Amino acid sequence: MNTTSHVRRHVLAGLACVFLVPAGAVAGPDDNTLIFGQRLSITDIGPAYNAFLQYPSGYEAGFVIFDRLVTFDDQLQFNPQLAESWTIAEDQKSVTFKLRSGATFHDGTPINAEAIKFNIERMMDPEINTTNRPLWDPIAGAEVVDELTVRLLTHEPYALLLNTLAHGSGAILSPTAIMENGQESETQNPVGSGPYKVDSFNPGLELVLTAHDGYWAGKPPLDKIIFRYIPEAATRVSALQSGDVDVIDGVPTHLIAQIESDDGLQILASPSLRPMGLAMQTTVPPLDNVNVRRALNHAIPVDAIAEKLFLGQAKASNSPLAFNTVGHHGNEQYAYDPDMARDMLAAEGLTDSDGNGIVEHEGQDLSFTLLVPEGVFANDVLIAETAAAALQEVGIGVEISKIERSSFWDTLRLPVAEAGWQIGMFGFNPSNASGLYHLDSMYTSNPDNEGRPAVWNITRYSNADVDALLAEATVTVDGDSRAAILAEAQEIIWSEAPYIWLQVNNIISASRADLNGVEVWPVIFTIVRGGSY
Amino acid sequence: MPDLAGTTSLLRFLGFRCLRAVAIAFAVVTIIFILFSLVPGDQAAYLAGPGSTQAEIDRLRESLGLNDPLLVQYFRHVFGLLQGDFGTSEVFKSDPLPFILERIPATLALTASAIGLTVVIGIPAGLISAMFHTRAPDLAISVSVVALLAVPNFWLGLLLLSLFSVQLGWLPSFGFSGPEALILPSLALAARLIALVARMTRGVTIDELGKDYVRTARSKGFGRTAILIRHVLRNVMIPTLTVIGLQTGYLLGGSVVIERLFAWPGIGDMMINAIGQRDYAVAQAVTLLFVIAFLTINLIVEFLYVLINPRMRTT
Repeated sequence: MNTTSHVRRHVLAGLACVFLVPAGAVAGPDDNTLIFGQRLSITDIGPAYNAFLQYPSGYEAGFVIFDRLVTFDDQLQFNPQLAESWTIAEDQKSVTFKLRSGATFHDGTPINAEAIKFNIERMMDPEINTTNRPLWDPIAGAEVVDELTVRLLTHEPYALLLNTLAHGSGAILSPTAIMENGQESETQNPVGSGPYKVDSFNPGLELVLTAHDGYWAGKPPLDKIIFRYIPEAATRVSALQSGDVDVIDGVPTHLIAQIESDDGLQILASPSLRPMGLAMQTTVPPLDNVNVRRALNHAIPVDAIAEKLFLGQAKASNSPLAFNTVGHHGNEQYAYDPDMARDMLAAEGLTDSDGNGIVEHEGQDLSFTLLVPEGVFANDVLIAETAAAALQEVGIGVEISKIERSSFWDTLRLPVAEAGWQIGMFGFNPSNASGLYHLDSMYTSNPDNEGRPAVWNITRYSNADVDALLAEATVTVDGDSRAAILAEAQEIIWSEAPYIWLQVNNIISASRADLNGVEVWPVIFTIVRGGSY
Repeated sequence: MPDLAGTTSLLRFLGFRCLRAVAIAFAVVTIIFILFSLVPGDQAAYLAGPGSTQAEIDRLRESLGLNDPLLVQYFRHVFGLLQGDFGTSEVFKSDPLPFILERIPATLALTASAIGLTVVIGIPAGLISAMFHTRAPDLAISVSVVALLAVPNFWLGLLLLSLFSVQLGWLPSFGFSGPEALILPSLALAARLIALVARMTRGVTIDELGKDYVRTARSKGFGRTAILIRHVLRNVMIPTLTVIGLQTGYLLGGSVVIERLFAWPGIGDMMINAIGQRDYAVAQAVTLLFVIAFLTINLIVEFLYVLINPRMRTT
């Protein structure tokens, strides 16, 4: 009897919670709350322990809850955050940061050099920081100089130290909270020092933040920020139109017009850092022939894809890097010219002698399997179908292989013999905004070229000159000299065409028109930290 | 003692059905396990994330026990389930059960409210249709029934959303923010069932209205409405409630789609995400939960059926 009523009370309490908790939140300026309808759910918040599972939704929350030593602006320039200033040592193997005074964590403890050291060392630990290793492995340690001065050491001169610190994994957490609540407490109940602190968290559904009154830059303009998971694009747009939410991300191109026709709403778009392309297995004949790869590049109407499929919210690439990536260097585009593509293929001995419309390679009709995910990249399947039709136009047979999203990334990285695809859609997003990191991840030779790629060199591209240039750039701290080295690498990679280069599309979010200060960073993130009405 | 014999046979019947449900649940656990181990791609590679090395993936495979023979993994899984251990969710980084239990009320509320709408709209619509057989109200209702059966619930949900929350601004567009938030998703979810029940009720009522006892009642001077409510309705309810019971399983399936559309905090959407994120602990637990719910509903329906019709007990 007692147990029954106990259980019943629990069930009722559960029901009451479901009814009451969200009912308190009203979108818009009425109660000074910002509700952000996100495409993906937040399952954990902290920078460590598989931070990628929540990408980009969890990072977007992290940028509000946590401060970092330095931050990006929406043009990806570095701005001070917890560090007021920094100086690079003579030997370029350490950087000394002067910290802002008077900053405190949400739990009231001070932010000092000890706290920074604690966090840096924590992220250096591969058991704790399991996902962002390439960003943190070059860092050798942290030293406390005085209460508000900390020095970071690197194994070699590390050109991308600031990019790492401005990255989401550079979040500074309260050491006291971690010592008291345990290492993994950060994933559910993190204590940072940003303008808003965690009020309640329902993993996979909703995260509620409230203003941190002790914020070092003054009381934040909003009372509350709520991150709410809304998986369907049409529902997100409806929720924005009906005023149930104030900001949404992941606006599909076909719904832009609907938002633009509403005076109370605005589109927030920013060109992404992710150049899309069709990766070619450069060890598989005839794709090992650079002229064949170039011919395929001339066969695809990339401008038409950008115009017609993205309604102008995309631009044909001119480099292995996206236009806004630090270090981008433009090259001459491969003009769309099917006749020229046919001639180039013929020059390599790929001609159609039996008149079935498909060229033969070593006596067999030449046909490739084109791997494409459904719903991972904007318009992914449509682009694959367009590209397949265009390749067939010049005599290349294409079979599209669609793959479910959770298997996609793994299938891309299978060893060559098991892969089952010769052409695959891919786009790398350099989440620290660095062109060097981008090129290094995608084009540095793999140690074992037939096995699983070390990072994302899924084309098995291998060029000793490129390897040498990227190695040199990694230890070149001066920005201009580094850009010159990267430009040279981009020219080589572009001309050797391991990819059929496609388009760079915009990241499209939307908000109420009277909401200011929300930024869309080219690194995919919609940043609501500075939002105000 | 005919009464006692009846009770015994009822108990035997129930015992047999319960045992069968347990056997089915066990078979389903096995099938789910096999299906999940057949899913292409490596769970460890997914969890290790893009940019991970083969060594990291191997270490994770070892710690997840993925290197053990499949049979060993299967028995570990089954013994775990028997002890109420659903494994560790890689997304929630803990036992997934509390997270799942927290989501159940929302799914229950949605399903219950859809069944409520079915009873409140479907049965009266069928009765009215039968009363006005071949006249204007009957035609209007019959056409609506065909329309509702033809419209996919996802699309209907989008239409409702666009009309009632965007255009009119009457109802919330997503989430479970209060009782009024139930209206749109449960309408979208129940539409097909409402149509089925209306059609069923109409057919049965028309049959019943032609029977002798109705003619007798009319000759005694009772009005049409009184006969309908006092005599006919009782006979109509039996097959109608059976249909609703049996279709509740269908509602569970539909709730997965509708929950996603309305960003509903239930377990349907949780299951979709778990599969997408390779969170096998959650996916298996929720799938099992759906199966148990389905079996339980079927048991209840069978039980009700037997109560109504004792001849069923021997089969």
